[in-house]
Amino acid sequence: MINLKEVTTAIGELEEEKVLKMLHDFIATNPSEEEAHKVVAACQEGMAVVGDMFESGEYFVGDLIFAGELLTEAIDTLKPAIGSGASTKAGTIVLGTVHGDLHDIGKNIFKSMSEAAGFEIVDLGIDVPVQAFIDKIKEVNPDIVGMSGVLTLALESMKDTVDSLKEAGVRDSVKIIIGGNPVTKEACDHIGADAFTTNAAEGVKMVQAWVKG
Amino acid sequence: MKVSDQMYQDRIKRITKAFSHEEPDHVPVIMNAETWNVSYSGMKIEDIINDKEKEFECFNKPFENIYYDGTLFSCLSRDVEMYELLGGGAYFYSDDGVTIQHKEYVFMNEDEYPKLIHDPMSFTIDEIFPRKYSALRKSYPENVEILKKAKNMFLDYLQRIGHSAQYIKENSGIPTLVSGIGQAPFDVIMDYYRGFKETMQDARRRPEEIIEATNALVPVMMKNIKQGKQNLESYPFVYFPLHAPSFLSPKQFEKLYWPSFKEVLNQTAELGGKAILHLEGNWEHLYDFINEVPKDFAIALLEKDDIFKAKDKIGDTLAICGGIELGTLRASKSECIEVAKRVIDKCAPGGGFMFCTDKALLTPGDVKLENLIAVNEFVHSYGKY
Repeated sequence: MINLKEVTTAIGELEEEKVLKMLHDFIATNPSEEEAHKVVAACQEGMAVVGDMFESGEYFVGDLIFAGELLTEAIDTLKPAIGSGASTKAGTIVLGTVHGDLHDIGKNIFKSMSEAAGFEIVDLGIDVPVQAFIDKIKEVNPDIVGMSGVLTLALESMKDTVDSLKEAGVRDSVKIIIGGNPVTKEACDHIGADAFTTNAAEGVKMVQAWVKG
Repeated sequence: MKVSDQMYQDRIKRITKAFSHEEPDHVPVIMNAETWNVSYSGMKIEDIINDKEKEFECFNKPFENIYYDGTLFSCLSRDVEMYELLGGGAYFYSDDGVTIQHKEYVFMNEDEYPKLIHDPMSFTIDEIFPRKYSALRKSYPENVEILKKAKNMFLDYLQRIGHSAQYIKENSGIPTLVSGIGQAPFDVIMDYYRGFKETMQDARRRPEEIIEATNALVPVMMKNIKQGKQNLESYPFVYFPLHAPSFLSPKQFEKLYWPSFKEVLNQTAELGGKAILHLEGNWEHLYDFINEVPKDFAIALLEKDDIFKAKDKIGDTLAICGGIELGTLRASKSECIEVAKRVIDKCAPGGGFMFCTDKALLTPGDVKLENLIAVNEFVHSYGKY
């Protein structure tokens, strides 16, 4: 049987070859869905380690990017064994870079880290029109909406988006977090979001607190 | 001598003294702005794109009302129309008609490092450019005609850099600090070949190939910096926008980024040049390396670093340029003045300091104008030595 602690450690240390070898060996044993889900959980714990090391200054953004890639590879490897059985998910987040802005690095880091924390992410991409947010919220009924942007012009787009969610009557069914270079407390109040951050790891803790609370 | 000539000379003296850790008469106030100047002048890019005179006016206009001693740039930083002609729309205008944005594409595959290492220019011209610019994939002679046209647009753009600097010199007595561009070879790989995410993966999967490629790019970069000259002037400066280090660990930086970049800096210094190192993002984890740069060879233009920490740790090696965040300039005036005062009190004594915003002014809403005016005037008067 695979050593779950070793998986967590290897992910935490970003040892790609080691992780993939362990997971391939594991898949070769034809494991049950339940066993496979335990390994997924171990991988997610490894990502939590990565997040902690980022916060303590040992890891840098480049490491987060690589960790996101590593987790995707790990889950892809495990997919045949995970099956379609529902695993418990932490919550659903509809995510996008607001209209007028095409930056996506920050959004993608937040995406991979919140996926690693067990959230289901519906990523609308970049330059997302207001209506696309509204339609997707009505369709998937998420717990949280995440809006990202790098330029100050994104702040107005965020406000525009939140106002339109109100008009469409879906604002109060979700929590809204905004992220990116220009967001501040003042901007957050002006936009009418529930939380703001310039740090993806911090953002994940905020959304975790919401779904737990 | 016209008034602006005298002012121009005084300002250059102010800047070069501060650069070399002498106390000038006043703390120099430096402008870092691009497309914001266009909106400040009440225009859109489409109004100025085919009208050089109007572009020059836009970049000169802020100096009528806002105090500055110098500017990093005197015109738009690139000719977006040239890229559009070539069919490589990595740069485009935002909906506001002012802000230029960049969309990243990846043009090189992970297994192509050997080609880049073997002959960077041939690989770039023969393989990367046709992938990047769809017009070059058209049939002959249409592709050649487009290439010729693009070349003329580029030469015209190079001229515009010089002419616009001359324009603000003559009209406002403002010196333009930047006369050439350099980059770190690692950033060249990231920006033009492999993209951000892919480069971060290569850093872990293919470190040796990255090192070889960065070394192969050193002579290419030096050619770009020298622009056919034998020696470089000590003023104006070579501007190095530095992209990846904020995202790299000290270990990765030391192994993958620093050796080839240090070589570029050393060669630039040997040629007599001086540099503006734009430490984009946060560099606080890399100060040991910065202190290996020759003393008084460069200004560090700060973005997210704590300026007091920077002054303390690298302030003897380089001049520090920074002081106020755009976010603060959108807050209250009193808060802005308070921040500026604290920065001058701690960073100005002994020279080696220039005042500037933490980021370039790009979009119309980046700062509250009245705050910017008040802060720059305050820094000029309070920053008297």
